[in-house]
Amino acid sequence: MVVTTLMCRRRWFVVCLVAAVAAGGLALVRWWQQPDYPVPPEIPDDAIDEEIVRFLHQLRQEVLERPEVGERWGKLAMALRAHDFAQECILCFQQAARLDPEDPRWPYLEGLSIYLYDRGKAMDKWEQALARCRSTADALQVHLRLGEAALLEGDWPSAQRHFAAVLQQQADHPRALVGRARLACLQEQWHDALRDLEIPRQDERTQKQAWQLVAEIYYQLRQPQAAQAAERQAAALPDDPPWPDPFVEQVMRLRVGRLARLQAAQELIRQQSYLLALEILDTLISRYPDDPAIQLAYAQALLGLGQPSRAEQLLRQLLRHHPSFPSAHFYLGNALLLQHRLLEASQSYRQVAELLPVHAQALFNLGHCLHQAGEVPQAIEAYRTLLQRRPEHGAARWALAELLAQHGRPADARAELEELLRQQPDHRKARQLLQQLPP
Amino acid sequence: MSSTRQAAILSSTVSIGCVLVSIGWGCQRERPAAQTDTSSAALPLWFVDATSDWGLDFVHQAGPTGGYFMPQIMGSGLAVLDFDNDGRWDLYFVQNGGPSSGQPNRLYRQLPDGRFADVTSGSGLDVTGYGMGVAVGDANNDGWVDVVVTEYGRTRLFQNRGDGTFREIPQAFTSPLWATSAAFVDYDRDGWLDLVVTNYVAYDPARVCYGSRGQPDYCHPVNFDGTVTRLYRNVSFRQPEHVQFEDVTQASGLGRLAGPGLGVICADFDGDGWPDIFVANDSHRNHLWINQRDGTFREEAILRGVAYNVMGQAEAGMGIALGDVDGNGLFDLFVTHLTEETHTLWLQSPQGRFADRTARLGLHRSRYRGTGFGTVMVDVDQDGWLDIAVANGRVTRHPAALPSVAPDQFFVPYQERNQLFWNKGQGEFQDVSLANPALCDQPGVWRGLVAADLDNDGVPELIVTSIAGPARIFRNVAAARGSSLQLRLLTRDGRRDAYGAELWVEAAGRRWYRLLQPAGSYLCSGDPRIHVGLGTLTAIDRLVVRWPDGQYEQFPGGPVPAIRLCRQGSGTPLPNYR
Repeated sequence: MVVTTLMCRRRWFVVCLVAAVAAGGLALVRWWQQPDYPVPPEIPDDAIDEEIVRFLHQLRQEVLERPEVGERWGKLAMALRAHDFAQECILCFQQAARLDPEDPRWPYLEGLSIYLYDRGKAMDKWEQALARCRSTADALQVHLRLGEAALLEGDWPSAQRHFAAVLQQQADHPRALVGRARLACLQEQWHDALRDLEIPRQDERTQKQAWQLVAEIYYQLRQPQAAQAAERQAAALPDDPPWPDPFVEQVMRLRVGRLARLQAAQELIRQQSYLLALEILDTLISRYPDDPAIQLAYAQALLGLGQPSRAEQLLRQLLRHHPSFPSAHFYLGNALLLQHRLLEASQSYRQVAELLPVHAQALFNLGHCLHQAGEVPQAIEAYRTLLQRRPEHGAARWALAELLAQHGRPADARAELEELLRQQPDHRKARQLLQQLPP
Repeated sequence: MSSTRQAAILSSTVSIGCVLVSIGWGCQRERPAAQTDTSSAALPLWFVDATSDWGLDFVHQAGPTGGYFMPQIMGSGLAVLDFDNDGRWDLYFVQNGGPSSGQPNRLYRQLPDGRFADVTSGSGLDVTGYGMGVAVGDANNDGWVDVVVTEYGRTRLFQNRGDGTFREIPQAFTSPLWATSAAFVDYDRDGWLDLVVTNYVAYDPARVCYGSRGQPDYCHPVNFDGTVTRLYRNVSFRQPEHVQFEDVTQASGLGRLAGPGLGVICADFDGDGWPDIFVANDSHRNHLWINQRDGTFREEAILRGVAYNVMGQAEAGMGIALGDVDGNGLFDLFVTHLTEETHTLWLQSPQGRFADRTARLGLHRSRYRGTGFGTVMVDVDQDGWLDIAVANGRVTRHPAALPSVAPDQFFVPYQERNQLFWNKGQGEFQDVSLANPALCDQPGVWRGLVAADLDNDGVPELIVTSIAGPARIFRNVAAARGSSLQLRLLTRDGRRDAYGAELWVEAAGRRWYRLLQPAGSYLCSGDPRIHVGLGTLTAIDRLVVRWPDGQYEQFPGGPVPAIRLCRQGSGTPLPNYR
């Protein structure tokens, strides 16, 4: 009985031992087969914007929790790249590309990150991205990138191939047409280039560069008048907007921190979306109450909203702490001007001109203020000072010419108008006023 | 955790640590894997650092750090001049520590033994300021070179008294703009040197800029308006004992277009015999002012193909070098740019028309990249083809730099290495930087660069300035050097160098084409003589000079190597040559 019990126990012990060894072995095999993930790069946090550090740490933690997820590596990589961690992002893009083999973003963005140091390798990465593209839009973007890089590298056949690939999908693609036109110029095929530029010079995304290229081509063809006409056409156009890159835009959307928010607010102010700008600035000002750049942007937004007295209050407070801040004096001048306190405004502008003699807008506004206040000789002097320092300032020359004409100095006005028309031949008002002046 | 993993983690920690330590303590050098090229051993060694041999002890003062005052990161230049007419080249270095820094610009006189002695004190050039560039020329035709110093906020004129000292002409120029490079040029061909001064941006020092990581850094020029290049007509003929200039910026047309100008070079770009003005603008299209021969200029950079690079992009133009790199008898144009861009070479062909051929000529395949400032075209090995040297140094912190460094290491994150490109013939370039560690393997925030034959041995040295660092002289020790000809071209009265003169050297069925213009590069004025490498030739057939007034003369050939002097009127007139 005792023997049977002992044997029974021993059997159980053996069974348990075998089971334990088997379970351990299985776990070991599973663990052994698990892929080996690298550790994401450390985020140096010394003297960098805290918000950026927190954000990057959070993304890094997410990678550490699920290192097998490519998207997490990719997001960390993009966030690192968005904050100029150019070296650190490369490993993360590589991991993302390995774990997420369908997504063209990772090799594409890795290529952008290494382009500065190794153009050949970067172009290989973009070729890999191209092979992953499932959507036409993505493929066009990568073809354009490759075509332009090949052009810069002097690899004309590759450039030709990539531009052709885009144009096969979209025959009127203006950027690809400009690229092909540039290639034709390099090969002195001027007429082919001119043909390719017909569409781009009508497209607001490429019109300025297209007209500039047309000017250069006509000059090469020894048609100087046509060249100069094209050059004038180009000069009259605003700069072409940056061509959107959907991959890079995803990166830029991950920017956080004081600078990113301030730049977003400034962009909104530029677009006259003052309320939206104030929403961002309210957050910023609560976090950085003593930051002069944020206070200045806040005052700008208030001025945009038509609240000059609030802006004045804020700017005076800012100037108490930063009395030599030219931009604060300038916007204070604007706040006072909006309240029709002309002499006080002119004092502010004078202060700017003293602190920063090359501040063109302050001298221009000073001239305007003095003119409004009836101080004509002083206004003329302000405009003349501005034009002496910044002779390219067309608006000041026009204001001066008008003022001189209004106050019985036609000869002086004529001289300014003639100079203005040499600078801006298409200035219609100047031409009209010139015709109206007594001989 | 497996030992493999432990080892991996340990090694990665050590690696990251090493990377960070190396970044923090001095590297900032972009070393791609590809640059471990064993073939570099076969490439030519051209330069050794001979600064101490010359006794030069100049150290640039950049002023207090940490405020990110933008003029500080633009650096300062230097001039090669013979201010005392003793036949030996002296040196003048600009400081930018500020008016109250107590650190004046430095003047070094070359002694008979070839070493440089600091003679700043009492020279009249011992001035302080936010100094940028320097131009040298005999403005009143009295046989003594005068000096123009450009600064943040003003331009200053110093007249040579003829006794080894200078006097400043107060309020000679009243422009409050941030002046950068300057050049003397006789644009109206009246026999008096006029002056072009490029100006940078309407900078607001109260503006604080930040990098993408949120750390403060120097501002990018796009944050400010560009300003106009100023042209000053020399009116010293009215009273030659007093150098005088008249501001003709507006009347000449140069006042119509603004840009963030950093580099300037004056040469005849369209072949009409009148000097034109090329301005390299930072992150803005370049300007090429074509002389209309009536005192006015027309801007034609777009038409002539030098406004943009091959992709139609405006690059960050800094320094300029001009020379005939492909031997087609026309000047080509080289401009240095940011690390993210390329240093760009525009070939001229046909006359007056340029095309970006950087890639075709191999200049895009550099071993490493840099933000270029000073640059020169000089035939280092004297094989008959112009080589190119570039002084590099960042304007914003290296992205991989540690966010904070010790105050004495402030400029370390801005350091880069210089570059040297060998012209293998017909303008095909090969990067020989790795074979020239003295010039190219010392990290620095390099800015000014000139070529000058300091010891009159017929072979030019290179002199480089760096921000908050010592200036260096690199002696040319190229082993298989060819023969050379060095020429000084003087005006009719023999009193001054004939700036703007063009030279053709004919030998063995080939022609070399060179220009006399010491201004160029970045913030600098170099050796006013012309140096021509001639390879294995032992004699030249003849020389032809087009003088600044448009007249041609030929001079007889002779054996080389040689250092010669040609004075206008002493040769045989030619009706035309080109």
